[in-house]
Amino acid sequence: MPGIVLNSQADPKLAKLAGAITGSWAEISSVWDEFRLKYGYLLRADTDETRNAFLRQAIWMAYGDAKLDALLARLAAQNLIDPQLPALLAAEGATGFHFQSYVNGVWQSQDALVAGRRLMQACDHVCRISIDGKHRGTGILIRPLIVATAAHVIAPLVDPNGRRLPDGLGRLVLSFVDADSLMANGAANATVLAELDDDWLIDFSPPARGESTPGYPVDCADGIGEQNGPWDVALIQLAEPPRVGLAGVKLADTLPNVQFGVHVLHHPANALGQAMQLLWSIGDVTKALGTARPLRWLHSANTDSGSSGAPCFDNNWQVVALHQGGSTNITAKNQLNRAVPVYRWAEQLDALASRLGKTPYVTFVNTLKGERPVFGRRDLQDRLWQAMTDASAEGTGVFVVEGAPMSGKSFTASIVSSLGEQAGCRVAVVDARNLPGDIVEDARAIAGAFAVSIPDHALANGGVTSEFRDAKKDVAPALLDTVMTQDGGKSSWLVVDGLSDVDPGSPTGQLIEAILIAVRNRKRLNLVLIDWRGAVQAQFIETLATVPTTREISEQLWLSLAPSGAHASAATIATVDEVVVEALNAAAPGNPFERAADAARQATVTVRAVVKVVAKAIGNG
Amino acid sequence: MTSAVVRRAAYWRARMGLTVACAGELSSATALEAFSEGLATEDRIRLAREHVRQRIIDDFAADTELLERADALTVSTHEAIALLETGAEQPTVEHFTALETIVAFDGTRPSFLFRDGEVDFASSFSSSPWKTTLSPAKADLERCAACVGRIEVGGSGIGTAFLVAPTLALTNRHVAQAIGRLDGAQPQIKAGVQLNFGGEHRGRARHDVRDVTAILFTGNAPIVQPIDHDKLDLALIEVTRSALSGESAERCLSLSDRADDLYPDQIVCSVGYPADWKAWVPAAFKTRFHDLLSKLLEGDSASKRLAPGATTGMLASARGWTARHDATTLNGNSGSPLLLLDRAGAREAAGLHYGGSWQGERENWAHQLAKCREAVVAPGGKLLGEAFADQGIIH
Repeated sequence: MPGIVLNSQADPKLAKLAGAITGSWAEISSVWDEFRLKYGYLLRADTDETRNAFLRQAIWMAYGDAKLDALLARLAAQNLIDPQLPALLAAEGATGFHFQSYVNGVWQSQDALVAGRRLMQACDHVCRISIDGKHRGTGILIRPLIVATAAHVIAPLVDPNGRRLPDGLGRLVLSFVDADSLMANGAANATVLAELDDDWLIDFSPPARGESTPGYPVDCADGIGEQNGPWDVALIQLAEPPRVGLAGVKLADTLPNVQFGVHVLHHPANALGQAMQLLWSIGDVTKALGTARPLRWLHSANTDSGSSGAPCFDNNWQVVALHQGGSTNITAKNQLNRAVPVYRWAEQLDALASRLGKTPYVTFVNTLKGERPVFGRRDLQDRLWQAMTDASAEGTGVFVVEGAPMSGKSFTASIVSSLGEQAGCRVAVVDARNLPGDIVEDARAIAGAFAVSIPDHALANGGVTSEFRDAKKDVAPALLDTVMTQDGGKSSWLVVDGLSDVDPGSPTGQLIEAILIAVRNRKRLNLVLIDWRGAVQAQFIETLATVPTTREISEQLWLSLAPSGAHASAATIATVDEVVVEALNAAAPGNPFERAADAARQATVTVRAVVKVVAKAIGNG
Repeated sequence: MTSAVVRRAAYWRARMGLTVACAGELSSATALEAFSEGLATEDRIRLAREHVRQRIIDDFAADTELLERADALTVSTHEAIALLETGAEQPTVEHFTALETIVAFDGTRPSFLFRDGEVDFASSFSSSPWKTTLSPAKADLERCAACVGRIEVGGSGIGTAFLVAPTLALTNRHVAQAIGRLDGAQPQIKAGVQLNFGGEHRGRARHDVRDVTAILFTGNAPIVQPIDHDKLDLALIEVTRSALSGESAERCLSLSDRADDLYPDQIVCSVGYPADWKAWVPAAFKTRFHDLLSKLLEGDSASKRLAPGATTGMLASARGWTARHDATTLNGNSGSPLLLLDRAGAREAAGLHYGGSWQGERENWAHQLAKCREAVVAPGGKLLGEAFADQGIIH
C-alpha cells in the first residue's frame, strides 16, 4: 500500500482502517479465516475482542507481515471496504489506498477489434512441424509458399553442408489449423497438411556452434557474427499455399528498441512429447545480445520444448523474431528465453524467394527484332536452373542444344544469361563463327568474353602452337584455370553458339573438344554448346522442334502473366489451351513460330482475365 | 527370477528411457524419446538430486545425515540404471526404491497441492512441460477439482468422492464399506460421515463441508483383497446441500460417455486426497530411502492434490472396464475422478480411480465409467446406467 505507514497499534490511521472495514461480521470473519490460514496467523475471528479491537489486531498483524495490501484487496473484493477510505487516509497525509489498475509501459493499448482480428489471422499462419511422426517445433507462413522455422527444428533432415537429405520429403510434415474450424468447445475438427515442394529447403542457416547446448549460456552470443550470423533459420518451400486466403504474415521492417512486448504463438510439446494446441504467450523482450545490431533477443514469454521456430510478434502482429530456446535449468528464477530477430534474413528474403526451387522461367527474350516469346524450353531451363543454384552439384554441366533454323535455338544464349544473372553466375557468350580460328587466339577471345585475360606464361611454348595435343594439354587448361581463378567463387557458364558451321577438326573445333575434356576436372565451369556436331558426354541434350505446341504457348502465357509462384490447375491450363487454339485458328498462315507468337498476342487479354480470377482465389492477387 | 521382478525391471527400463542389450536383442527405450528436447536420464537424476538437496537445505536445516542419504540415493540410482541396462542382474528392493524416489522428485510425475481452490504449480517438483501442459487447462481443472472432496469420519480422511449432482457424489464401494453397512436390505450410513471440499495443505482446511446422509447404491459385490477387477468398485452417496450460493452450490462433474478404449499415452489428471503413503508401504519395501522420502513429503499427506500422468492402456479382464494410468496416486485417492486432458472444452470424469500397485510398476486402476453402464448395482439389481438415470445423472 503506497504511502501507508503505521507506527504502532495506536496509530490513528490504523483505527481509521479498521473503521472503514464494513459489512457483516460473518462476511469479515470468513475472509479473515481464509486469509489467516493461508499465511499461518493464529488470530482467530471468534475471539472475545470487540469488532474494532479485533480488526486493529488483524490489520497490524498483516501490516507487520507486509500482507496488508493482500488483506485489504480481499476485503474490497467482497465489498467490505468503505469507498471513502482513500480520502480518509489522504486527510492523514498518506497517499492512501488506490483502486488502480497496473500500468505496464511496455504494452501499448490497442484497438481490440483490429488486434483481435490480426491475432486470428496470425494463428492461421502458424504450423506444427514433425519429423517421422514426432513433434519437433513450430513454423510460420511468411509467404504463400514459404514457411520459416528455426534451423535446428529440421536439422535431422539436413546434411552437414546445409543441404536437404534425399529422403526428407516423406519425413517432414507441416500442419496448420484453420481457426474457422474451431468448435464451440475449443476442439479443432480440421488440420491442413501442407504440401511440400520436391525441393523443399530454400535456405538453411544453422545455430551457432554450441548454441543451445548445456555449456552455452542463454545470454551468450559467441560464434555469432554481425554480418554472417548464423541465424538459426530455415526456409521451407511449399508446393502450394496451405489453404485459400493464406498469403503469409508480415515481417517487421523496422527494428524495435528493447524493451518491447512480444506475443509468441507456438505449439509446445506436452509432458508426453505430443504437440499441444496452439498456445499464445506474452512477454517482454528485455535484452539484446550483440553490439551494433541485435544478434539475439532475450524474452520472458513462456515457452517449452517444441516451441522452437515459433513466431514472435510485436503489438502490430508483425513477426520480429523466431523463438529459439531457453534455459535448461527450470528451477532457476527469472529465466529468460532466446529468440532470433528476423531482420537479418528478412532483408534477403526477396532475393531468396526469387531463387526458389521453382525455375524463374524465361518467357521473353530481347532480339534485334524486338521482344520475342519463348515457347517450351522448360526442361532445359529447369536443368539449367538446378545446375546454377545447386551448390552441391558435383562435376560440370555440359548442355547441348540442337535444332533446325527458326526453332528458337538462337534464344539459348539469352535464356542462359537471364537465368545466370538471377542465380548469381557468370555467363559468357561467344559465337564460334566469329572466333579467329586459331587455338590460342580463340582461347584469348573466350577469356575476353569472361572479361579476363590469359597470362602468356600460362600458355606452353610461348603461346605458339596449333596442335591438338597442345590445345588439350596447355591451352584449354590455361583458359579454364584463368576463368576459374578470377570467378570470385561464382560458377561460370560458357555459351558457344554457331557451332553448326564449325568443323570439329578445325582449330576452333579442336579447342572446343579440348575444353570439353579439361572441364571434366573443374567444378563451377559449365558449357552450353549450340549445334555441336562432335562427340560429347552431355548432361542434357535439347532437340528443338520448329512448331510450338498449343500447351507450350499456353504455358508461356501463364508464366508471363501470372504472379510468381502462382499454380495453375489442370483445369485452368485446359481453359487457356482452348483460348490458344481459338487464337491459332484465327492466325494467318505462315511460319509456325510467327503464328504461335501472333496467337499468344491475341490470347493475352483473355488469359490475363483468367489469371486474375485464379490469382485472387489463391490470395496472390 | 520371478516374473514380477522381470516385469518390474522392464517397467523401470521404460520409465527411465533405457536401452538394454539383452541376449543379443535390443530393447527399445520409450517415453523420454517422444520429443528430442525431453529430459535425458542423467538430467532427471540430476534434477531429482538438486530438488531433494534443496528441500533438505530449506526445510531441514541442511541436515547432514539427510544430505548424505540424498547422495547415496544418486549412487543407488546409477547402480540401478547400470543393472537395468546390462540386464545381467536384477536390481534390489533398495535400487527400485531409489528409482521411486528419483521419479518422485525428478518432476516427471508431479503431485500438485491446492491452495484456496487453485493448483499450486510450485508445490511439487515438476518438469517444465507439465506446467506448460496443464496451464491452458488450469481454470477448468480447478473447476473440476472444486467438485472433489475428502470423505471424513471424525475429521480423519477415509477416501475421496466427487459430486455428480449438487447433492450426489461418486466414490468407491470399498470406501462406502468403511463408512456404512452394506450387508442389509438397504445400505446404512454411519453417523458423523462428512464430505469436506477443503483439506488443503496450508490452504482451506475445511470448505463447503457436507454431511453424508445416505449410500444410495453400490456395486453388487463386496470389495475384498486381493483385488478382483471384474467387480464394480463404485458407490453413489447422498450429501446435504451446499451452504455456498450461486453456481458454486450447484457445481458437479459430468460423466464422460466415451466408451472407446483409452489408448496409452493420453494425459490424465487425478484429483484426490492421497493418504500418508508411509502407512501403506509394505514393510519388506521400507528402506533408508523410504525414510528420506517420508521426511521430505511429511506434513502434506492426505491433502488435496492434482496428479497428472498418462494412460497405459486397458487392463485385460473379463469386464474390460479398467483403464490403467501412472499418475501419482496412493491409498486415499480411492474415489478420485480421472480427467482426460485431451478433451477440449469442459472436462468430464472419464474414470473412477479405485486402486493401484504402489511399488515397482506404479500401475493405477480406474473404472472407465462409460463402460460400466451394464454393471449391476445393489440394492435393487438395476443396471448402473438405469440407476444413474433414476437419480437424474446423465451417463
